[in-house]
Amino acid sequence: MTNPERRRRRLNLGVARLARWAGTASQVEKNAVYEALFAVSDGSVFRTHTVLDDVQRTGEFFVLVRESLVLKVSMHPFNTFGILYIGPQDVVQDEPTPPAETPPPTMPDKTLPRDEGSRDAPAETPDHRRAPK
Amino acid sequence: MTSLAHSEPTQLAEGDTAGIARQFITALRYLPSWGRDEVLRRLMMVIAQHERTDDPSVVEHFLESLVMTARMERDPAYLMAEAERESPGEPRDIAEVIAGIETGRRDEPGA
Repeated sequence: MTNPERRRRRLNLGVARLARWAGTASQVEKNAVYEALFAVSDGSVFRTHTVLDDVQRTGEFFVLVRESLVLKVSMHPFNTFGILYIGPQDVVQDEPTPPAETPPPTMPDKTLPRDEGSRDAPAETPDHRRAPK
Repeated sequence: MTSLAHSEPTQLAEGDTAGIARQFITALRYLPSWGRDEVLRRLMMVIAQHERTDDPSVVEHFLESLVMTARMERDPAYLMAEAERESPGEPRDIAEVIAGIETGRRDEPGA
C-alpha cells in the first residue's frame, strides 16, 4: 500500500521568504496561503485554485490565492517545491499604453508601398483572468 | 471583446482569434525581451495542441498565463523577489514549516 505521506511534495526553497511574509500578513491571508501551500504539497492545487504558468520560466506557476494575493511556486525534482513570491499581484484597472517598440528601419519613400491605412484596431486592455476560487 | 474566461468550449471563432492575437501582442510587449523566445516556443506548442484537440481551453490558459506573467513583470516587489532567489535547501514537510512559523510567532515577545 502506498503511504500518502510519501507522495507529498516537500518544501526546499523559500522558507525564509514565507516566514518574513507571515510576519506582516493577517491571519486570514496566512490561512489562505497555508491552504494553497498544502494544496501544492499534496498535488490538489490544480483543482482547488486557479494556477497560471510563468510563460517565461519553465516549472514555475502563479497560484491565485485571493483576489489580490498571489503565490508563486516552482516545482523541483525529487518531489520538492519552492516558494518564489508571496504578495499582491499587479491589479491595474486601466492598463497604460505598452512600451513602444523600436520602429523598423525606414526605407526610402520611393520603395514604400502605398499606405493602405491602419487595419489594426487600437490595442485593448489585456483581459483579467478568472477570479480565484 | 469576447472574454476568454467565458468562451464556450468550442473551436475558436475568427473574431476570437483576432481578439486573442491583439491580447497576445499587447501582453508580449510588457515582457522583457529575454523571455520572448520561451513564450513563442510555448505558443507553438499551444497551437499544435489546439489543432490536435480543437480545445480552446489550452489557448485560454496560455493567454491568461501570459497576461499574468506580464502583469507581474511590472510589479517592483515581484521583480525584487525574483532578483533575490535563494538556493534550494533541505526538503521539509510544509506542515512542519508552517507550524514552526506560527509557533515562533506566538513565542515572540508581545505576541
